[in-house]
Order: sequence, then C-alpha cells, then structure tokens
Amino acid sequence: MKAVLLFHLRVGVRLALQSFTPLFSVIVAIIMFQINPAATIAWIARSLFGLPHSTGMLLILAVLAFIFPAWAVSRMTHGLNAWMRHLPISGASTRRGLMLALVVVQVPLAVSLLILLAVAHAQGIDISASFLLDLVLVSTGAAISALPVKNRPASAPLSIAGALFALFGNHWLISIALLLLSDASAGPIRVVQARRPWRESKISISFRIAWRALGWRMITAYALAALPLGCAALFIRNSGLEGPLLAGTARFCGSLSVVLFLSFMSEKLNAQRPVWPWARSLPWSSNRRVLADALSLGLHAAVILIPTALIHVGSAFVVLFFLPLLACMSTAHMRRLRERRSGIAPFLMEGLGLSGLLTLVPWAAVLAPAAALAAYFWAQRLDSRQKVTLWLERRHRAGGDSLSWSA
Amino acid sequence: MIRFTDVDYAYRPGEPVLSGATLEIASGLTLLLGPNGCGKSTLLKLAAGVERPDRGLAEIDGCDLWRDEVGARRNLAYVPEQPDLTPYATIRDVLHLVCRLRGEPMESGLKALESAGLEKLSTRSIRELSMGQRRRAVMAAAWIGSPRVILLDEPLESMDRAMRDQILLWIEKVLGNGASVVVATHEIEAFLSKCVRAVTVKGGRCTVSHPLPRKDDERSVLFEALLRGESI
Repeated sequence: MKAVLLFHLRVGVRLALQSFTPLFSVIVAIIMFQINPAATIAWIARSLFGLPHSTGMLLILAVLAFIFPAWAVSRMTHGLNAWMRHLPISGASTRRGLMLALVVVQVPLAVSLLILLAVAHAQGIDISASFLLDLVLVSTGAAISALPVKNRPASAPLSIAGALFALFGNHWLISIALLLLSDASAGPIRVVQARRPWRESKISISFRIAWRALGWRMITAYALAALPLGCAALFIRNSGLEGPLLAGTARFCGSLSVVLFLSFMSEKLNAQRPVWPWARSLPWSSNRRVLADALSLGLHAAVILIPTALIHVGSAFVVLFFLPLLACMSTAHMRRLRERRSGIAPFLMEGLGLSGLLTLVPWAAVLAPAAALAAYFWAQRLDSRQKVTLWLERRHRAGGDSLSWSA
Repeated sequence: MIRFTDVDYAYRPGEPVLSGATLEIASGLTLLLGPNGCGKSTLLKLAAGVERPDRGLAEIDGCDLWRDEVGARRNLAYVPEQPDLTPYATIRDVLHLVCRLRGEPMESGLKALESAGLEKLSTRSIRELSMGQRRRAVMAAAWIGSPRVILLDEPLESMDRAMRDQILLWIEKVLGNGASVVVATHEIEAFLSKCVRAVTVKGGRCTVSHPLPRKDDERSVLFEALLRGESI
C-alpha cells in the first residue's frame, strides 16, 4: 500500500509542478492589473480568512479546488487499466492512491492560500483551525469527485455535497461522513472503453487529426475566449462607453479573447497531437506543417471576431489584421512547448503585450501582416530544427503518445 | 544515393551522437551494424529527414533534405523501429496521405493494405491497434509507389513468419530495381548474402566496410565483430 501511495504521490507532485507556473502567471497578471495590487491581495486575504467569510471568494476557492483534480485525472489514469493491473495491488489501493495524487495536485492552490494566510495573519485576523480543516475537506471532496470510478453517479454528488457542507455550512462532521460514504460507494476505477472507428471524410488530414485530438476541448477554448468579450460587453453597457473608449475596450477584449483561445488550443493540440516523427520522412515540408497548424488555429480563432464585431465593427477589423500574426506566433510557440516547464505562458505574455499595443496604438495593425510573415518563418525554422525523437518527459501526455495504446 | 557531409548531431549539448560524419551510400543493400545506442537509428533518422543535422549536409539523390524538403523525400521510404503513427488517424488516413504525397493512386494504398493483411482494420484509429499491426501499417506505407531510397530500422522485429518472408521478397524486388536499401538490424542472417556493404557508427564517426568478403562465413565473422562494436 505504501509503495502505491508513494507512486501516486510522485505523479501528483509532478503534475502539481506542471500547473504551478500557469496558475501563478494568471494570478500575478490579474493582481498586477489592479490599481493597487498590494491592497487587492490584502482584500482577498481578508475576504477569505476574515469573519464572516465572503461567499463569492469561497465559491471561487471551491471552483479552483475542483478544477485542479478534473484537469489532472485524465493524465493520471492513463495506463492504470493496462499494465498496472497485473501488479499485486487491490482496486481500492489504486483508487486511494489516485485520490491522494489528486489531493496533491492542488498544492499550487494550497501554496496560494498559505501566502494569503500569512497576509491575513499580518493584518491581525484570527485564523480558525476549523476553517483550515474545512479547506482540507474541500480538497479531499474535490479529489474524490474527479475519480473515474464505476459508481461515479453515486459517489461524485456525495463528495461534492461533503465539500460544500464543509466550506459553506462549517458542518465538518457531516462532511467527513459524506466523504467516507462517497469513498465506500465509489467502486473500482472505471475501465476505459475502446473508441469507435473514425468515419471517412474529404477534409484535409491535418484538420481531421486536430479535430479528433481536441474533441470537446474546443468548446472549452471558446468558453474561455467568451470571458473577456462578455466582460467587455457588460463593462461597455454599464459604463455607457462611446467613441474611442468603446473602440479601445472592444479591441483589447477582442484580441485578448483571441490570445486566450489560441493559447488554450495550441497547448491542448501540442499535448494531444505532438510531433509525428515518421511523417517528417514523407514529402511534406516544414512550411506545409506550419501553414496547416497556423491555418487550423487561425480559422478557428476567426469565429471570435463575430462577437467582437457585434460590440464594435471597426475593432473587429483591427483584430482581424492581427489574427495571422497571433496564429503564427502560437504555431511557433507550439514547436517549443516540449522544452518548456512554463508551457504556453510565454505566448500568453507576448499576446497580452500585443493586445495592449493594439488598444493604445490601433494603427500598428498596418505592420501586423509583415510581422506575421516573420513569425511564420520563425515557426518554420523552429519546426525544422526540432529534435523530434528526444524524449522530454515533462511535457509528455499519454493521450497524444503515438506509441501508447493504453491511453 | 545517400550522402552525409561533415554531419554533427547531438540530442543534448555536449553529448554528440555523430561528429563530422561523412558517408556515401549508393544502390544495393547496406547493413547498418553496431551495439545498442551507438547511433544506428539516429543515422537513419537523419537520412530520413526526421531529425535535422546540427551541422553539415544530408542529401538524398543530390537534394539537400532541409533545403529541398519535398524533392529529397519524394522517393524515400522510412520504416522506424517504433511505429510512431499519430494516434488520431486511421490506417486508411495514413496510407491516403502517403499516396497523395507520393503522387500514387489510392488503389496502390489499398493494395499495400491488403498485402499487409490490414484491409479489415483500415478504419480503425491507430490507438486501437497492437504494436505489430502498427508496424505492418508503416511497412505498408513503404510499399506504396516505387521509392528509390529505403531506410529500414529493425524491419523483421515483431513480424510473423509470413510477413518476414514478404518483407524479404520486397527488399529483393526493390534491389532488383536499383534502389538503395539501408537496414539497421541485429538479425544479420536474413541479409547476409544480399548485402554489398556494411556501415557502423563508432565515436560519432561512420565507417564503411566495402567491398565485403565473398564467402558468407567470412562476412558473418565481420558482421558479428561490427555488431559487438569491435574495431576491424
């Protein structure tokens, strides 16, 4: 049992490290956008740890706690139903080991909370031990709810209820009972079913492979892109913005949506459909590979221009000028993702900078096509220079591994 | 004809696999021999255009693999040791792609599929196939068209008897058409009598043994020594 727990613990730590940089980049970016970042941190700490706890803040905390295990679970369960099954480990041990790993995956969140805890303590706020216990229960509940178990329809609601009872009701005894009940009713880890055969179609193979690899994740990418645009629409409506301010807001949020969409898509595409070494021996140039990726990303991102145009037509045209540049940049960054611990964060930062530029200096859009060409050649150079057979464990994902048939 | 001129290659800085490697492989069967990890597969990947040399030139039939990417790969077929087909494609997708890129009719893809005994699995995604079936699929892709440069990395590994015979027959046929066939292998017996030269990688350099001894038993002794990484 100890060996199993240690194995899953290590997997959890590795995934937690992977999510550390993006999470902190986002948090730092959000805080730095505030007028007074120090006051914002103090306010968050006060709302979270001061009495009475802010419901909104607790809700955000709960959402984050549930997101981490949901993100990590597919990465952890690959192979659990294959070779691992011949080892002398009981199903319950595997499940508990996996649960532990899913708790550990939330370490970045725990570290953020510890920092906020220190800030709250410095402000003289009394931290109750029962609230800390509640947080542990939420984390455990989130982990159990993400487990891909046979009786998930029964165990997941129980664990979610356990987590919510702890967080909002402060009834930690009921919460522990619900979590134990959820664990008892979970059953074995679910066997991954073989996928249905693909249907033939006449669309380019690159697009087809990309679509199959991304699947429903594309919806998540569009939902993510809708956030800045939704915020922009509400902000413009509530503030009664007009003229240049309206156009600037639409430009910023439109381009930000495109950047978020492209970063999510390229990160996922790179994990699910990594470089295909054998295909490089075919008469298929690096130019064509880069073009296929840039087109695939760019055309999908172009859909975002429609809601941008609904907010402000002129701004949508300016963002359209920048779209090829952003698509080529994300294509280039995809070619470097394997080597980076920080994942797509550098593209996110560069894209954020470009969105700012686009907002303040809209005529810079005139230079965008030339910059897009430079980014295209950069991506092409990176593609041909890739060491495709070099094993870089840290960005590996079994789902996109051509040699993994247990995934 | 495969030509390497002063090729350097390293997966990680300071750990060169090839260093100043210069090599010419003309038509006929060439065996690539050496102990595990000496750089045989890397040499094949560089010749196939899968990896790009850090320095130097890699050419196929006079075309630089990285300046004229499409032209150099037009008549090239590569069968890697690990059948790394993208998991989200079907076998038919892969063979259609190869047919299209090599300018061959789709029928030749279907014929190759049939020869590899995969016609019933053509609509399955790569993720649903066993390793042996994936290797057959990659082999079927090599059978499409009439490639003049063929690079095979352990082609007989994990193949059943019938498939092995088929592969050896195909190699004999393409050799008859004047192709250059390079085989990295540890199973020398099957290729002993047909091969015209042997290449080995040692200390980042390539050494060509050509001409080879005429008698099979003398060749066998030489190949065994090369497989163990001994200096000749």
